[in-house]
Amino acid sequence: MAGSAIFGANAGQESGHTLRNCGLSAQRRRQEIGIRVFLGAQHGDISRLVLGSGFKVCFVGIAFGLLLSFFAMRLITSIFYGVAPTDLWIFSAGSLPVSALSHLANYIPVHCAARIDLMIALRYE
Amino acid sequence: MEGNLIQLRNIEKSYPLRAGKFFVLRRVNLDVNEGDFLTIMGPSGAGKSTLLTILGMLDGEWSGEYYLSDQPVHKLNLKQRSELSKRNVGFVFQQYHLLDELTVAENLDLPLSYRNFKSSERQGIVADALDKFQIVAKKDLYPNQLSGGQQQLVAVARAIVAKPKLILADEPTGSLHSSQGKEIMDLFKKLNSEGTTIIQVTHNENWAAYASRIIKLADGWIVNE
Repeated sequence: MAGSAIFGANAGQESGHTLRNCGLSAQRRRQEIGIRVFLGAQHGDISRLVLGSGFKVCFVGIAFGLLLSFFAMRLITSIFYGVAPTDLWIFSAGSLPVSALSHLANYIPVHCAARIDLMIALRYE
Repeated sequence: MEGNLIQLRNIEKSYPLRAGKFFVLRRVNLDVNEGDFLTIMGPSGAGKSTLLTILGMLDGEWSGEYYLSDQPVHKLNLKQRSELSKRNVGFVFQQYHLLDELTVAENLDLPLSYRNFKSSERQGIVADALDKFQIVAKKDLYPNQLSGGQQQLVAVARAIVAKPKLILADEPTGSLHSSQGKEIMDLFKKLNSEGTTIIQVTHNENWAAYASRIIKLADGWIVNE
């Protein structure tokens, strides 16, 4: 029980960090987005750009996390009764919400950024 | 309307305030022929950059009539204006606005990538542009490895790489030394002699004189031509 509580708390904290960092990344790219729109990029082009780079970061992070989790699970199997070290549900329970949150964190600023005032975006430092 | 690239009739732009409206542009009427080189001058806040973004069809919140090559821009929706702008307009900014994580060649390729050119075609067009602007040796450099004048040269090359009918330049020499500024203005003069219509905003009387026409804005009105 203590282990699952710790796991839950960590997952929540990491989700929050992911949400904040992905959102900040998209906002910092406002000027770049403004330039790309001036050069002819459409909303779909911007979405693919920001979500694509966000997905890559998320994918690498989850891959590392799953690898570390595999070894960590071997140490904590005694805490979770009846859970195998490679239980797919336990692996998914942590990574799926984080992945979904990071995509949401990327999408919301992109949705706003693609509609920004371009002249303001180009003056943004 | 023959020979007219741009016709503006009673263009107005305003922002709502509690006490009424703040007008950025008021009853702007302007004709620009193909091949013109026009300078827009005026004090800060006169509406010069706003007029430029309206001309570039990147600002849709205005009233009046705007015809580009006889097409009624004021009747088009956002997507149609965006497409028209992509086909016809190139932009040059005071701060160059090159993308730092892309090389010179990649910066030139970027507008082509948003215009449905085939990859092989894009490579040829970029190569031609690098050659025309004599920056082949710099094609793999990044913007932070170039001087201000070189960056603006790349920005001008990027603006014309898709062969637009119209170049809009917002203080293109504002961040450059006078000798670099002269190089850019000489380049604009050459492009104009080859048929490109150019509209620039500048505070500099010397650079303004490169144009065939000068209009002055003040408080949103055209006060002098």
